[in-house]
Amino acid sequence: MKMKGGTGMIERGRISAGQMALILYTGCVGVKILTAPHLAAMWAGRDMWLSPLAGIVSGLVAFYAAYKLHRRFPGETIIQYSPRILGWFGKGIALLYWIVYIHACSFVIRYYADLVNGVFLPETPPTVVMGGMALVCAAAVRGGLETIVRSAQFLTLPAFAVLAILTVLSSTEWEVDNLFPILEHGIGPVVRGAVNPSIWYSEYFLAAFLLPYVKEQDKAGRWGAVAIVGSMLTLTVFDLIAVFVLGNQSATFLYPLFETFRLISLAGFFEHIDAFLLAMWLTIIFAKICLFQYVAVLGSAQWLGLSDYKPLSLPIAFILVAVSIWTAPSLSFLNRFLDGEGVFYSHLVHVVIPLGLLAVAWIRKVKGTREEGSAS
Amino acid sequence: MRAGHLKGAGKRALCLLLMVSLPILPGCWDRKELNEIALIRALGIDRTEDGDFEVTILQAIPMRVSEGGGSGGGGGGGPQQMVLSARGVTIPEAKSKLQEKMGRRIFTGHQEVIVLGKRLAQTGIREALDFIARQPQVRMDSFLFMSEGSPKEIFETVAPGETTATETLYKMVKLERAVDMTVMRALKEVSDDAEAAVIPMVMKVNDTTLKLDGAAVFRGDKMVDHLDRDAAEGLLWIRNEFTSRTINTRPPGEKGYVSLVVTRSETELIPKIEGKKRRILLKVTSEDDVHYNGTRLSLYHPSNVDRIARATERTLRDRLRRTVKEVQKKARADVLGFARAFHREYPEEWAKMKDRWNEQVFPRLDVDIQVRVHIRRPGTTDRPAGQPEGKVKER
Repeated sequence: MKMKGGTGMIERGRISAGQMALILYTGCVGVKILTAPHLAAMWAGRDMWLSPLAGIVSGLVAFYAAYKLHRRFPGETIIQYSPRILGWFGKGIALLYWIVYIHACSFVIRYYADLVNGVFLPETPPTVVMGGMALVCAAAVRGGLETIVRSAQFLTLPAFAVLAILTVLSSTEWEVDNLFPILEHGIGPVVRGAVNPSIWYSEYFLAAFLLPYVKEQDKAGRWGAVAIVGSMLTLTVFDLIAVFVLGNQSATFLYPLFETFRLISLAGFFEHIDAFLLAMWLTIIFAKICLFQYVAVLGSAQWLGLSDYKPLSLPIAFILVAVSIWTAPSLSFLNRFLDGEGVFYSHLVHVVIPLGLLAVAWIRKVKGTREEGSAS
Repeated sequence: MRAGHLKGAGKRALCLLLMVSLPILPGCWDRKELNEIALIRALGIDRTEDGDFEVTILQAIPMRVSEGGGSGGGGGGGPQQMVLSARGVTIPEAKSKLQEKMGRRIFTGHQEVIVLGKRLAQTGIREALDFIARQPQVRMDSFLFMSEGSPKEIFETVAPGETTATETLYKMVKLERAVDMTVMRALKEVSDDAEAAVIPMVMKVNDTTLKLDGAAVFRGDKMVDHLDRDAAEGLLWIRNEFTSRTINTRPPGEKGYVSLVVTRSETELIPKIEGKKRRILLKVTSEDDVHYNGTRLSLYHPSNVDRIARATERTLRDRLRRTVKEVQKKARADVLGFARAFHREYPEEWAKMKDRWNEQVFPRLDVDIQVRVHIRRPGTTDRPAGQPEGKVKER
C-alpha cells in the first residue's frame, strides 16, 4: 500500500468541530428542506412533520459508524482504511465510495439545476446552470477544506437566519387546525414518508471524510450529534409550516417551502420574495455541492495515492456536470428514486458497509498506525 | 495565496474577464427587458359552446400609465389596458395563439386576478386550476372570481380613475366584501374533506361599474349553485372570515331600523355524534358598534341596547339559517367547513361517512345555530340624534 502514515495526509487544513457540524448540517438539509416536505406529504399527509423524527435513526447510525471507524483509524478516511481492513477487496470498496460520491453529488447538482430551470430560468440551458455551479465549487474545493468550511460559515449562516425570519413572517398564513387529527392512519405512513429524509440523514456518514481533519477530537462526536438533531428540528419546522400554510396541498407542489414563502405578503408591499429565497438557498446548496465535490476529489486523490488533490478539482467538476445530465431522465425519476429504491442504495453505502467494515476490523483486530490525536 | 503573482497583466486580464462576463450573466438566457414583455394583470378562462377553452388576458400598458399621470386626465391618455382573447383545445394552446397576436412576450409574474367563466365552471374548473398551479411564474395568491358571462366583458369594464379592471377587482377583495379566494385556497378546498369550494361572483353593471354578485358554490370542481348576496354574506359568517360588515335589524315594536357595524366576530363549529344522530352546533359570537339608529330608542339605557342586541341575534340567526339551508338542500356541497370539523373531532366515524358526505350525510345534518351579539359602543352619541327631547323613547 502506498498510503503509509505521515505522508498520507494530503489535506493540510484543519477545521473545528463546530465547523464540521455546520457543513454536515448544511449538507443534510440542503436539498431536503425543498423536496422532502413534498415527498413526505404524499405518504404521511398531515402527519409528515413526524417523518423527520422517524428518519433520524439513519443519521445517528451512519454518524456513529463513521465516528467509530475514525477512532480506530485516526487521521484516515474510509478510502485509506478500507484497504487496511480488507486488502484488495477493501481497495475495491474504496473505489465504490469514490464512485458513489460522484454519483451522489450529481444528484445534488441535478436537483439544483431542476429547481433553477423549472422555476426561475426556464430558458437557460441546464448545462450552463450546472456548469456555473460546478465551476464555482471547483474553485472552492481547490482552496481546500478550510476554504469550503469558511465560505459555508460565511454564506449559509445568514441564509439560515433569513429562512428563520421568513418562517416567522409566514405565521400570518398559518392554520394550525390543519394539523389535526394527528396519526389518523397510524404510524405506517409516517415511516414510509421518512424514506426520503432518511437518505439525506444517512449522508452524515460523510463525517468519515471530515473527522480526520477536526482539531478538537474530543468534541467531534458531540457536535455531530448536535448537527443531526438540529437538522431534524429544521426539517420538522419546515414540514410543520408546510402543513400549516399549504395544508393538503403540500403533496401537490414539488417545492412546498417555496410555495409557502411565496404566499408571504407583509402589509401589501413585502411580496414576491421567491427570487430572494432562491438567492438564500443558492448559498446553502453551494455548501452542499462543495462538500460532496470535495469528498469526491479527496477520495479520488487518496485512492490513486496522489500527493495532492487540488489539481483534480476541475476535471472532477467536468465529470460531475456530465454525470448530472446523465444521472436521471427527468425530475420525476429523480424524486421517485430518492423516495424508493434509493433508500437501499444509500443505506448500503452509508450504514451497512461501514458497520461491516467496523465489524471486520474489530474481529481481525486491525488498527490505524497513527497515534490517537495525531491529526491535530 | 499568490497575491504577488497577480500583478500587472494578470490583474488587468482578470478585470477584463469580469467585465466581459457582466453582460451575459444577468439572467442568462432568461433576461427580460421591460419593453419586451407584456405585463399581464388578469387572466380569464372560459369555455365556448363547442367545448374549446377561451383564454382572455388583460395587459396593462405601463407607458400609458405614466403619460396619463403627466397630462392629469384619464381621457387624454388613451387606453391603459388591452384585452385580448383566443380559443384553443387546451389552455396553453389558446395562450400560444394569444402570443401570436402580440409582439411582446406574455409575462404573468404580476398577474393578480383570475376570472373564470360560468360555462367553464359548470363543466369543471380542474383543468384551469391545474394550468394555473403548474406555471412557475403564476402567483398562487392570485384572487379567483367567477363571472356570469364571459371574463372578457368583466375586463373591459374599467372604472374611471382606475387604470385597469384588475385594480377594481383586487381592491374589492382587499375590502373584505367577498370570500377571499386565492388559487391556493381553491386548490385546498376542492381537494379537502368536503370536496367543495366557493368562489365570489362578479358582474358587470354598466360600462364602468363592476359589482360583486354573491358567490358560486362548487361540488368537486363543478359549479352547482349561485348564492345571492345575503346567502353569500351568511357564508362569510360561518366560514369565520371576518369582514367589516353591517347588520340591519328592526327591534320588535319599533318602526325604524338599527344598523350595527361588526368589529369582531368569531364562529365555532362543534360537531356531535350521538348514536346514529349527527349534529353540529354553529356558535357565533360577535361584537358590534351602533352605526345608525332609525328608531326612537335611547341607547342611554342598557336595557334598550339589550333589546337591539336580542333582535340582531334573531336577524343574524335567520340569515345564517337561510344560508345553511340553501347550501345543505339546494347546493348539497359542504362549503361551510363541517366536514373538517367532523374529521377532526371524530376521525373514525369520519372514515365511514366520508364517501357519502355531500350526497347523504351533509344535507341531513342537524344544524343548531347559536348567536350571541354584544353591543359594545353606541357610536358618538347615545341618543337618537336630531330627535326632540319629548319624543325619545326612554324605555
